[in-house]
Amino acid sequence: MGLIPLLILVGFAVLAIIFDLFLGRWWAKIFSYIGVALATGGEVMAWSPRGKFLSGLLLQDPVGIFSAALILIFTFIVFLTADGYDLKSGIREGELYILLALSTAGALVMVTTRHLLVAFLGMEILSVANYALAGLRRDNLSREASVKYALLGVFASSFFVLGIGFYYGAGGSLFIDAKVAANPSPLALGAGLLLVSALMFKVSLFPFHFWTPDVYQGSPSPVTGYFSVVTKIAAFVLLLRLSDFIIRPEFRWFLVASAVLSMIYGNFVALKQTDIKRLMAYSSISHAGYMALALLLGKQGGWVLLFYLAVYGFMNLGAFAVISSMAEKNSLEDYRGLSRLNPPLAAFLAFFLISLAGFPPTAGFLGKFLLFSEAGGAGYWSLVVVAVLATLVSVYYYLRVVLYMYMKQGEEGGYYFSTSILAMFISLFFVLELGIFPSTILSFLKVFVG
Amino acid sequence: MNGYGILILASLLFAGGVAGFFLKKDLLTMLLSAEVSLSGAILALLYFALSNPTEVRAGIIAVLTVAAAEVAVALASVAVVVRVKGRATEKTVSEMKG
Amino acid sequence: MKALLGLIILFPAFGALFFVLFGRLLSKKLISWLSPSLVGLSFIASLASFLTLKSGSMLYLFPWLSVGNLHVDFALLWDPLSAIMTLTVSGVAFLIHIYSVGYMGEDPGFARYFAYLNLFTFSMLLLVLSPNLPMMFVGWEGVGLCSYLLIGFWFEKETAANAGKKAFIVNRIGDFGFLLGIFLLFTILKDLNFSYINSHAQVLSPAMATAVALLLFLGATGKSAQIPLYIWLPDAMEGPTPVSALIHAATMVTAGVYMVSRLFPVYARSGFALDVVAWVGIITAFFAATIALVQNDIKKVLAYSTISQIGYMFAGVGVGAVSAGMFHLFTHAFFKSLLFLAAGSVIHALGTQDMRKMGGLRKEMPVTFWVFLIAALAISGIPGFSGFFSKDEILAQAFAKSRAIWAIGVITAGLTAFYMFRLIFMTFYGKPKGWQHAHESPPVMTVPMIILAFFSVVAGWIFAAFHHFLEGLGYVRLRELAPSAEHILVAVSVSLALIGIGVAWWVYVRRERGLNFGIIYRVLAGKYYVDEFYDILFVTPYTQGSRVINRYFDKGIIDGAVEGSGKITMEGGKLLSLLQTGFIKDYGLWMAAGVILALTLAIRGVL
Repeated sequence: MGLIPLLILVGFAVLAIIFDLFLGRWWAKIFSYIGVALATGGEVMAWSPRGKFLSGLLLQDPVGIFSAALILIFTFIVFLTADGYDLKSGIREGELYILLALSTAGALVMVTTRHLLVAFLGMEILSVANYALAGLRRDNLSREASVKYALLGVFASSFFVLGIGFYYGAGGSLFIDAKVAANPSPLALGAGLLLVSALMFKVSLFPFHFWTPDVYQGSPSPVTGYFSVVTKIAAFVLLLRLSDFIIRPEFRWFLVASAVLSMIYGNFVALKQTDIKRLMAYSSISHAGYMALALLLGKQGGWVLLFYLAVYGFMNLGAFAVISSMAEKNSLEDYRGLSRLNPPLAAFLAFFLISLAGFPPTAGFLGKFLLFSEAGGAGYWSLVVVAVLATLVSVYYYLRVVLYMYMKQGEEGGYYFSTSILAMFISLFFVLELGIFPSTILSFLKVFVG
Repeated sequence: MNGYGILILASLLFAGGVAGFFLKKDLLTMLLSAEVSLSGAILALLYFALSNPTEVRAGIIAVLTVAAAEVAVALASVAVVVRVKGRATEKTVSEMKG
Repeated sequence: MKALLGLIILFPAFGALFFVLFGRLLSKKLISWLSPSLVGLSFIASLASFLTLKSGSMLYLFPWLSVGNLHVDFALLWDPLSAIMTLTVSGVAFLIHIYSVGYMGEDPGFARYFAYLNLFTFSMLLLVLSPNLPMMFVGWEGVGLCSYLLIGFWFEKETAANAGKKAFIVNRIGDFGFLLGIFLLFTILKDLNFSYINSHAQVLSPAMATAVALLLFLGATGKSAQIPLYIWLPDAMEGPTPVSALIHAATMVTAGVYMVSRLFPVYARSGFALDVVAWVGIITAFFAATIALVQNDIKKVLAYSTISQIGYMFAGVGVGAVSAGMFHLFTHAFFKSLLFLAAGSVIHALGTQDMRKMGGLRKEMPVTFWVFLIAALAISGIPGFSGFFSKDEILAQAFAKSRAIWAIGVITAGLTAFYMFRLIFMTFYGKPKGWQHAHESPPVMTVPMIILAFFSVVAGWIFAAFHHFLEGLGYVRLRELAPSAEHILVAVSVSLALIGIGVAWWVYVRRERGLNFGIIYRVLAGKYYVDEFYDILFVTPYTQGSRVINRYFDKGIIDGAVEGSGKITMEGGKLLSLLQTGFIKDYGLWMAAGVILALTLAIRGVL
């Protein structure tokens, strides 16, 4: 049963390719929408029966199903966002949707597998589609983004493959739950380190994050939103599954240092940014740093990690829905006086940025609150202090954008929006829902994820 | 067992690839080097799989295939840069920074 | 009838939402009727709650957070502490809403102003009615947000925008402490409801209690403008004057005092933390009062005066007299908002805030003058007026705990009387300086002032009637002093206040007249000697001293620290961004270096 969402997604993507080729772009869009929608339904229905299937290569467990459902919902929101985007920017829209659907298929594989080789396959499906997505716009920045992402991605992949080799050498098995992490040999340690490093590259944790600002800035806006959310979820879930390595004492300091540096680096460098997508890239680095706190809690941190990923996804995609509506006018100067020009857009962006900054009663506050108090409860006090400080710094650059929109006079111009406003409304709804009525989802996560 | 030979070769490939990545200026060569180190890693995987060939060997073929796909896409993106800018060194793709 | 509690916050919440969404479409007239009446209804609901609900009533709205052992509900708590705060906040807010209709009548941002003001009222009521820390934090951030928005209301003015920014940055530091305090409390007690925290404060070790209390107190110093985080409040005077009255005098800035009172058992667990609260409070009271002596901007005087009076409240709570601190909070809300409204009335009439350009307004603005005088007498602690009761209670309780705190407090009381009457004499007495026409404000502004003046007189009696009301909390009690000692203390502080008023009169009325009609005074021999003697002994050290404080401490060290840390952060960001070279190879090098470093160190750990 568990394979069905994946089959639906890939099947419709293939149909989309064919129809795009012979009948026109609209078909690609429609098939991709249908594929993602049906796959979401399939994922929900896969709730029971749960368990292993396909000779134990794939796994349908609460973590996998929840994150897969999240990934599909987020992809759907990205589709809505892209609808408002490609009207103006004139990229080949058919490809955009097909590649997004395929990349999502890779992400689904990553979160529902218990075998490292399959995980690698999923990661490569995701990555290959992502390199192409990054370069979809016909300008120099987009091309540069694609090259940078691809070259460094190949580099990270080789870490991952080498890690798989070590893992097999240490434990004689490629199953993630094979308890290799308990193996005291240096080989096991090396395996864990390489695997984790490659995934840290995907989620943009220091010092593997350097590609992030360049790629985020250069990629088409909806794609950037997609990178910052879906790729992160897939890789974080894999990291969660490998967290037995992370909590080993020889290893823990590395993630602690990385989390601290990510928070500091992301938030500090974001202060001087003038390009909003670049700013959001640094913001995403710092958020990866916060989420790394949950990883340090091991499997017990799973529920708070997944909750934060959900919260982060909605608020970030909401912000990117607005950014995409600006049709690649990404300088902060372009946001000057937006509140007069297009009040709904400005209000939406302000709301999502306030949530990213962690103000109550938005979900951004609650996510950080739970994350930090869990980390504090586990004794990572110094990390919590750094995290709270970093959050306070971050407020400055988020609100700077709001200031530009509301407190500076801008010039007149014409902006409009389309289905992307739907993406904004959905995100808004969930950011408030998760911030004010989170009990249902939290008790679900607490019961099933632990 | 002379599997060690494979391991040594794998290490050489991996190290050589990494060295090439950092020493060469041309994007195509850098990509090639990254690919070499990826091959080294796959070879290392093969070495570890020697003891139990049935389970992993098929998987390695799959890994090789997707690695090839990855490099193909990377190559395409470099090729676009070459076509537009005439050449592709590290400097041609360093517009975004800071 | 617990639903009344819901109504208290519902009315302003509806107003805020309605004006934010449809403000542009509504007529000015509708807004000016609707906005104050919503807050009025909220006040009526609070009064009704006060009359019908018993202490400890709780209205559950819905469960907010329920994970593992963390249970936080959205609920509203009605107990003596929240009752006093709710009545004060909704009552004062109601009057200031009415006043604002007149004051902001000409402003193009009319709808926006009332949207923010209603939002503020809602957040503040949420803050005081919340039964747990996370919900309180929601209100805490909400009032903060409204405060920045309203300080920067006239954001076209560079200074206003900067003042909003400054308030914002300084409060980040406070929030840092507040948040860490919440996290720490949660990890120790596993519960964030006030009732649980206060009944389990004994579980905390004294060291832990000290850490929690001081972290939370850092938050309080930010919100309530105490040393070292007080510097944003004087700048906050860039906002519209009714806002200064409501947010930066009567309600929001006292939230810190409320929070400390709310969690008093935690503070009481750690004697050191209480001492810190008391000393920070009293030193702030003294410092701010000395700075107020030399200000020439009418609102700046009042701003420093607010800082000083909140210092008194903290001193009261810090010496263990929660009810005395809350008492002063209650009376201060009336006379200080009245002072601001009256100052606003003057500013409205003259269009300047510089007291050197005022003078002689007594005849033209009689209502404003009289209410101002009443408020000034109240803040100076003249017997019969509300400030007398509350201030003397704090001083008496301080005397019982520490003579030093009492001494500083009494001196500060003298200074307070001096700068307040200096303000009155410079503004309302003497000859007009630099203005031709002044007119009394319209009734929509004067009536709220008259009502507040009434309360500035009687608030002391009202509260005294409920004196044992706060003891319903279980942890509030006062030390009893011998009646004779109490009389002596009252005599000392009242005479110091009278001396302060007398000196102000001497310097700003009598001497000024003397300068103008020189011969009479020259005949009264020794006048100049007295003046010079006075100058050397009294005025020069004061003015010079507080100028030094102002320049080096206020502007130099504290401002410098804030701006410096901002600059360091910015520069740090720029420096770090140099790592982002744009070259693929550098990025790859970082990755390789990271892996190699981790691998070496980790494997060395294994072997």
